[in-house]
Amino acid sequence: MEEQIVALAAELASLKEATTGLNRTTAEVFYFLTIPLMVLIHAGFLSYEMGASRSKNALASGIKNILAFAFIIPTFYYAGWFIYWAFPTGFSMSAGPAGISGFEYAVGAANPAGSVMGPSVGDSATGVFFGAFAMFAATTASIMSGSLIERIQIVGFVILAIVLGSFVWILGAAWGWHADGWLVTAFGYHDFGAAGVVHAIAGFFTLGVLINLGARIGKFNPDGSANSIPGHSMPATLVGLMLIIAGFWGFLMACVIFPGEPWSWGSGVFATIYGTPVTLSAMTFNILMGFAGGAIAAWVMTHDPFWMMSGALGGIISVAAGLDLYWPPMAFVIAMIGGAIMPIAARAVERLRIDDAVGAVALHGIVGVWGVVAVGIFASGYPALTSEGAPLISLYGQIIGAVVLAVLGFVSGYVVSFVLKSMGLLRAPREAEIMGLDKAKVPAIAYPEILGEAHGPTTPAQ
Amino acid sequence: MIGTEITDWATVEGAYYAGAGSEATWLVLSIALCLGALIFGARHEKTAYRKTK
Repeated sequence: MEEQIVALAAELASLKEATTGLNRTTAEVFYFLTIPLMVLIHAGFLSYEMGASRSKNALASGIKNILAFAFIIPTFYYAGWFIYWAFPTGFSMSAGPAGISGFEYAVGAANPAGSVMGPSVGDSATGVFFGAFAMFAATTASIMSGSLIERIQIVGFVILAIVLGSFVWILGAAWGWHADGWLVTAFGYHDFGAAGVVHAIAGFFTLGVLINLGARIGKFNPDGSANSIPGHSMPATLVGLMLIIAGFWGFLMACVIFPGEPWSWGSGVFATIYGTPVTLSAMTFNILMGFAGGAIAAWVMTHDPFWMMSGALGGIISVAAGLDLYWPPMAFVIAMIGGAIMPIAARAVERLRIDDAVGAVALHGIVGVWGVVAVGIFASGYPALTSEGAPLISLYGQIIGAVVLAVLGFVSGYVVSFVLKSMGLLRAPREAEIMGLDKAKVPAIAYPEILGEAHGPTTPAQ
Repeated sequence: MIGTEITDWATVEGAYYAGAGSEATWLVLSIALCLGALIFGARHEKTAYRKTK
């Protein structure tokens, strides 16, 4: 009998070990798969922005996208991941109530010169979490990219992308997208799918840059009226937008915390980044409703396929902050409002003589703010955290969060672009802009049959 | 050669990457290379723009 009990206990221990291992590797695979899904966002941005450029600038626009992605990865490794864990309570870098923040915690969890940031058989989580957040960062930087096409210098753009992707947005994420974030603990700020900490920050950062960058030659007439500057391939732009939307499934998938691990909020059900419950089913209802509502509203408002696809993305952004909470038909209505606001906001930006080539200020900035505020209007009263005495989600807290994040984005974008402008690193010279940026500096040619022979070392594809 | 002191995988319980003990050196080198790429990129761009005038 005793031997049987011992054997049973050993088998139980073995079973427990196997289950633990299975849960650990499943969690690792879960986050790992979000990364190639989010790479689709960048395939989308690449196609979208090249299509939105005139043929003389197509490759220069593509180079921007490739470099934004490439430079964000190492710079987010050096600084971004550390900032997320160090700054939730503010610039004091003190520990927050959940005990997962502050300088000491960040040194242990995200030191770029420490063993935690490298291959280890004892850590199946840090690498995939870092990877998912680096993809969020690259997405945030790429949101700005399209607005600046056809006149920004490449290196100036890369510096702006690094500042936005590896420093500014992640500081906002520490404040509002972390269980110890001061916006969450003090105001009950809720932003499940990053409408504020990614989209609003990126949109308002872009606005700050656009003011210093100026409009493309020929965009505005002396009387202030605007001219349309169509890109060379609307189909490429539309396919790109659909790829971005496909990639956002990976983005939103990476916004949940897998259950049953030592770093999880609990077991049995997924949680938001704040520790509150969520299911992939809940997200699925509302992402799809958001897509549909935004696209339909943009169709009614504009009948333009560019704005319809932007509206689909805008619909998802509109419901992103409350994807975990909304009743699906309510999400549809919220998304329709966002899809309707977007083209109106884009026209308002243009009336200010700001040349936003793809409407990112309206789509990400204004609709991102709408997404944050919508949670306060339609889903107030829920506890923002699971801890006792946690603040409740409220319209006041959401407005405070939206204002803080928009100001953080705008001021940093304006200041850094102003410095770059002063150094002569922001805008390409007039001659290069008129000639086309590809001919000026790219040793390859997008459409040789139309634009002539390549003027430098040719690539194997040519 | 840069390598490792690990000679038996059965003893590995934590970090096992090449470069252990010199992490900061590689970190600084990679940062320097990023900065260098940006400086060379800016020089190339300035030269290209000068040729358009």
